[in-house]
Amino acid sequence: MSEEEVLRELKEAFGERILEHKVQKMRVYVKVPNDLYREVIKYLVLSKGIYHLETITGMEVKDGVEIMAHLGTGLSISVRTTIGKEEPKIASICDLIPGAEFYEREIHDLLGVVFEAHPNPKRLVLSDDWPEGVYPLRKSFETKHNVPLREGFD
Amino acid sequence: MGLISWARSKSPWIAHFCTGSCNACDIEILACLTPRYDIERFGAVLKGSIRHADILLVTGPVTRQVRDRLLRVYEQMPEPKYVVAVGTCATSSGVYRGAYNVYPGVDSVIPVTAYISGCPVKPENIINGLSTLMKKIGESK
Repeated sequence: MSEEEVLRELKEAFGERILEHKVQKMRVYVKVPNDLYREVIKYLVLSKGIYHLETITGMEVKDGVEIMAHLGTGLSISVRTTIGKEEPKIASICDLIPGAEFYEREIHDLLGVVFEAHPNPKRLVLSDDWPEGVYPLRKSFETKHNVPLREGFD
Repeated sequence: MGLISWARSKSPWIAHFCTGSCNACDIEILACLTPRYDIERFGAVLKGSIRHADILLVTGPVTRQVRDRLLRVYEQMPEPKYVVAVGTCATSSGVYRGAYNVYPGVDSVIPVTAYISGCPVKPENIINGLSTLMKKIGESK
């Protein structure tokens, strides 16, 4: 399937609800509202058989936290959505793609996005002594001495 | 030079501990042990257990998670113990200094006897550092 065909089929399925789109060589980006994020991935997995998840990336942008799920082999389809900074919440896609579990746990650790109905929402990358509710990849995080280093030989 | 410290300086047994390095320094340490550099000619043997070792080679920036493990390994070493920080990351955290997940060098967690710099360290540097340390051990009472 070519890039234009993928975009046309997505537009046929979701119509105006796709907010933005961008096509590059071997890449298709679609920006969707929060409630459509899971639906678009469900459509790609169940109807189109595109079930290979490359990764999920997260980044803080001006008006929230943007997460992007990159699906597909060869031609990759990136489903992006921006979640509000206050109480960032999004539906988990672990039941569709079990491999998403680790990516979602990582994004929860580093950016504080809560994935609803995640099967195993434990800490993944941060250390055991890291306090709850401090997210190091947020722009509001001060690099130095925000979380004190422990001293002495306890 | 006492007999014991002379003997000690002739057979420094080494344990190697990676506290979160990129593995470049670890590979250089292994290169030291291979026939080309062969630090076994100084009596240095890489030991699997820290309880058999005299020298602890630490590579990489000390991450928050590995801090307690490093202390535990250090406490398990028999006296006298020597710690060598191998590489820029172990000496000062290098490019990771000030990041949210690392300590600023091995010496902020455990006492360090010798520092070997380089990113990654050259095997010649490791040999130089170890032989200097062995000389110091031999001179001690």
